[in-house]
Amino acid sequence: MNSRSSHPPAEAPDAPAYRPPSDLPFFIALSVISGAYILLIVLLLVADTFYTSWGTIGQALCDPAVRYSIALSLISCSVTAVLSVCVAVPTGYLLSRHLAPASRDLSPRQAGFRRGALVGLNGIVDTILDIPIVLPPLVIGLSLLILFRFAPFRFIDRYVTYEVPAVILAQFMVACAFAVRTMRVTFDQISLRREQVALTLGCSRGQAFLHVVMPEARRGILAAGTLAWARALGEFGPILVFAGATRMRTEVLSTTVFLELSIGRLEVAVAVSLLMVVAALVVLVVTRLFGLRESFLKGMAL
Amino acid sequence: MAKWVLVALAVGVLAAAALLLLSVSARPRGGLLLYCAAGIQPPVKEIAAAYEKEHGVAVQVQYGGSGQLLSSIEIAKRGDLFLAGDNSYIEMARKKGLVGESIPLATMRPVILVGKGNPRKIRALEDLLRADVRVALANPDQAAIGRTVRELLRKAGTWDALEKHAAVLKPTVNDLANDVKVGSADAAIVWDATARQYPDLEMVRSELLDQATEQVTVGVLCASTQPAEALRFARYLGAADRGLPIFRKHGYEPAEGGGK
Amino acid sequence: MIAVQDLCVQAGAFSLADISFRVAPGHYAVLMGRTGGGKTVLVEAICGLRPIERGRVELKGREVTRLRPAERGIGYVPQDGALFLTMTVHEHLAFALRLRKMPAAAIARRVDELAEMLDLRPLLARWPHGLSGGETQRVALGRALAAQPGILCLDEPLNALDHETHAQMCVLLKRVCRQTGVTTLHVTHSMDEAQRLADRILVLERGTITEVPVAAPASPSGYEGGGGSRDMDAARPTA
Repeated sequence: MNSRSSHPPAEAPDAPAYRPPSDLPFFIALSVISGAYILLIVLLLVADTFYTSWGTIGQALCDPAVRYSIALSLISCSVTAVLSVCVAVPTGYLLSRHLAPASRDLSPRQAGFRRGALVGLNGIVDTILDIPIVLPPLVIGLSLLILFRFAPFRFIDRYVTYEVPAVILAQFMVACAFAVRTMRVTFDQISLRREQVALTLGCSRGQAFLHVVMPEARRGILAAGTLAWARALGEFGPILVFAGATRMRTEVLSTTVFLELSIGRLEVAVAVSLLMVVAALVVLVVTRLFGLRESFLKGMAL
Repeated sequence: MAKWVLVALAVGVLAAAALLLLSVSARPRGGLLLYCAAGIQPPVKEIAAAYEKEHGVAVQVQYGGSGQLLSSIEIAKRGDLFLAGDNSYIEMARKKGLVGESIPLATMRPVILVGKGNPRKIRALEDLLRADVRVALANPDQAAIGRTVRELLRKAGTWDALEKHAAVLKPTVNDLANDVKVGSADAAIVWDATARQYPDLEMVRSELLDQATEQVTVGVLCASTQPAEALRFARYLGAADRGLPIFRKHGYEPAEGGGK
Repeated sequence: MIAVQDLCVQAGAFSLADISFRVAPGHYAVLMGRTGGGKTVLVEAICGLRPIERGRVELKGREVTRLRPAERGIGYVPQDGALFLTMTVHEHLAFALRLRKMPAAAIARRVDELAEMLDLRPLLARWPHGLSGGETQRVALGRALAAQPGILCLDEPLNALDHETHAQMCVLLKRVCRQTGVTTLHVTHSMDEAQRLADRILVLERGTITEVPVAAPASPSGYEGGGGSRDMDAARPTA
């Protein structure tokens, strides 16, 4: 201790004072860019409201065809969302856990063919799952129509084509592709470690998936479901071609807009579009709140 | 645990609602399936309802763009009748062996459609070439009105000038009319029947344009499983005391005489 | 008892070849080595979480080389604990028991036992989100021990702990392992930890295992001296 007191440690010499550039321009740039985009979306809606009136909206709501259309839209979108999630969860899991990492773990020496095959398979499956997003919607509708000319689909053709199940199938084709992407990203982000621990504790792979991975993926599942729902609501092309736009039968809100536009009733078309926006807002807000409540209760970081 | 019960309940309710909807909408088969161009909804809807009341046969109408309907007919090989926006599609369908007998229903002539009050004071075709007039035209490769106008104006020698001056080419005649209504175009050349769907807007006739006519035609599909019934409805559509008055009421000029 | 013979594991561009060692029943073995030297890979291979090229793994006298992790009777505590984010501490402790469909009363009793042993009683209703480092490790340990496995594998469990918690955890680990009699394989890169806890110290260096006697004098490299033989049949050297 004596040596310490007699030689106080020398202080480092002063470095010249340095200030990085101001933060203000950075934040301004961020706000301006995102603000402009958000403003653009809001302005679109506001412009629409100027083109219609409460009277027209009320009129549209009184039309039985429009009411049927609203009901069918809500039901079919919800069914599509549920179906999409049911398909997207196992598909996303398979892609995330079994196709991608497996290709990483194989050594470069060991069986280069097997490694190449897995990487190739991963790429092919990825591309196939992206096809419904890439194809023009009308082509999807036509393709469905063509598909149902072949056996075994031909046998159920009369119950599907131009009927309500066609609406759901057409919506599902596109909505599910988005749901799979979301679920894949979700599963990618869930650490493998916890699953491995579950395996050592006595789980089979299925049990580890159910008890450990699924609860953690809840928010991702909710996101995938709402994305699928929103996509299904806005879907138009495949529905028009494969399910048709028959009033009081296969008419959904998006085809109602088309029908009204094609006879020049722009105000009604805009009114129905605004109804769609309201419906979508309600559903999205409700599911967001539901998801927030969950994570709040669990004390997880938002 | 309780959460899973809730989820199962919600799914169950959804499934029940879907089934209910399915059963309600699945009306008994035996009706006719009519593919109809979306722009001709108003009169067709009325005539179909009247037909059902009179003859007890339901007519299910499938709306869409004429071109898209044609593709659907070709692929699905289902349905009884095809009512296109203009005759060219019926001819195309006939060439593909999809349509048999056809009946003309209404005659249409091109007119100039302008905004309410005709603010740009457009009186003749030449006015369309003015610098202060935004003109929208139909794409000749996609809509019959486009083809008709192009043929007509080529003979008069003014097509190239107008095409160059046009602000935009739209795929269907309804798109053109909507453009004028919203105000993004000052004028467009559309069918008079289309123009009459827009009571707010005004029509300007021109002698040159009046020379071209187009027929709204209904064709009986070869794939129809009930050709006799389909033909009966087609005749009903074109009957001077049944369908034609309703067409006239909605602003269509009824065709002269029925037949091939 | 852990017995590994001629184990070869491939992990990306990295490989371990012909690893053999034995840990006698009830003993506490510490596995040391440089970061990135393959310690975690080795432990994963023993647990069955990584496919092996060649070799045998025997646990408690049974050959488990072809068995799934769930069938090997191992408790595994990975780095950072890896707690299940959507379960409370109580559910963690009960997890392995619920899987085995034990009656509720038996589960409650066992959870109580574990909570007592690891001082987790005040934490039973908490979520993993707010637990401190030491608490997390204790929960992970309790979860791993719940179904009374014969083998315990700990992968750098005391890494991120502060000095005091570290010391407490060392005492706890030693006590728990003596009490339950599990054969333990503890991975660490700290010689100090090894000296405190181990009955035997194994060093994994450049793909081979050597043994270092416990309470060897600390030399700069820390790993030299003692053993050099590859086959680790020797029992605990007398201190």
